[in-house]
Amino acid sequence: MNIPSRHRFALFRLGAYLRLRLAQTPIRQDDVMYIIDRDQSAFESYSIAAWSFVMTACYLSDFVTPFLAPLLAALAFHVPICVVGLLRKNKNNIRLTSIIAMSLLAFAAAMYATSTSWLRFVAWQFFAFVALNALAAIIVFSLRGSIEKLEAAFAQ
Amino acid sequence: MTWFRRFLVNGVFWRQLLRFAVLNVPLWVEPIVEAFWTLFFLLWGPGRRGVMRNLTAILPGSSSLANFFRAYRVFWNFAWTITDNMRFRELRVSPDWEFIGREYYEQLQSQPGGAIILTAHMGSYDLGAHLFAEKSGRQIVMIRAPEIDSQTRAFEESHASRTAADLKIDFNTRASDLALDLLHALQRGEIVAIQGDRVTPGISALPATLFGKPMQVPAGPFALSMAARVPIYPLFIMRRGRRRYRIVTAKPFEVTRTRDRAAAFEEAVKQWTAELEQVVREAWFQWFTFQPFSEELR
Repeated sequence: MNIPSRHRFALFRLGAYLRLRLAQTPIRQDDVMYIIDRDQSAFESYSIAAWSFVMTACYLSDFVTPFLAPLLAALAFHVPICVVGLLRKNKNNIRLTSIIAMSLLAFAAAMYATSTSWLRFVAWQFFAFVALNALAAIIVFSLRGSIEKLEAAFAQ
Repeated sequence: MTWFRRFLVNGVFWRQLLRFAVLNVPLWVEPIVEAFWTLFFLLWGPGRRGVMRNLTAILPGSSSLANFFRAYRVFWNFAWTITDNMRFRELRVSPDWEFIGREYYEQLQSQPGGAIILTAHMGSYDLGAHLFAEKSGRQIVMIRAPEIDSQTRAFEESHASRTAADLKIDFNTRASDLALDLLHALQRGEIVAIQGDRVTPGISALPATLFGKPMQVPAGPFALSMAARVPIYPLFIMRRGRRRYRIVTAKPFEVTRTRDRAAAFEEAVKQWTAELEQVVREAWFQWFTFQPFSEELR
């Protein structure tokens, strides 16, 4: 059940829409109960997590030994989470920490994009993904009526 | 040194940290954070050894090295499960559900009188109970082992008060009073959910065999079934992936009143352990029993 509404990033929403169009016939599933939530896709969540983790580890390998970089990358993700969480206690800060973490990735990409090291390729693929996602967002927006109809047909 | 107690395994710090994470971790960062913190579970020696010893009985012939990595898988699933449970409590975000044995699940929902759900420390039994209470609209009483740490108990009880109106959480601390309360609840047609795979100290137990090892199961659910003449539904909740759970409902059985009470209990315990064994064998990575389940494994 990979309907677009169960994805957050436009690229994944577009992918889900295309898969749904190719599926043509809805499959009847009686023994399941699906939740419509933008963060429900496991594939999307694990893909973005792996992608951002590898990128961060790559950037950190510029400062520390490559063996230590993955551990530091995991710790680095905790920094914006802890700072925001401690400044805004007992509040739902998920959106804010998400924006800050993605902005930090963008900042790191901007730093390395003009460098001469191999890390410029890591930085440019980040910008390529951002550009692709922006393009997908435009397509998804223009297809919103069709997506809604298709989802309604499949979700019945 | 009481401040230090909050950082012990059963301390309140870890519950507060989990709540903090649920309110602050972006969902696309969550797998990284879960993987990182699951490593800390492996540092918990008694828990890790408990899981590894249980695995030697569940998977005969398995090596210690393989069981070490399997223990990580158990802790990984446990970390996701407690996160999903906390997320539901704090943000009311529910996972996807699959049903196996749906006919029995529906039978349970439409059961005219009371019934006992006998479950195990698998998946998110809290989430499952919430789902059942919300969807069926029936009063459900969930029995849990009390938290050892007083601060953790206070934390859990303050959160329990925020649960669905149809869900009541009780702690099996005062055995005799609780038994009477539960009997009355069953007679009123309510559903009582009890975990039947672990015995809390001070609670009466029945002998059983699981994976060929002697163990004990709580006597309460079987005695209640006999006294209130209500069926027992074995029901298991398993995590199938990110935000996806499966509810397995097995065929109900009753503990019939006969002259030979011991034989009736023995028969019922056999049925229960057969269901439990089958489910745990298939989903050993979901069985969150961190102490050896049998004295033989200690």
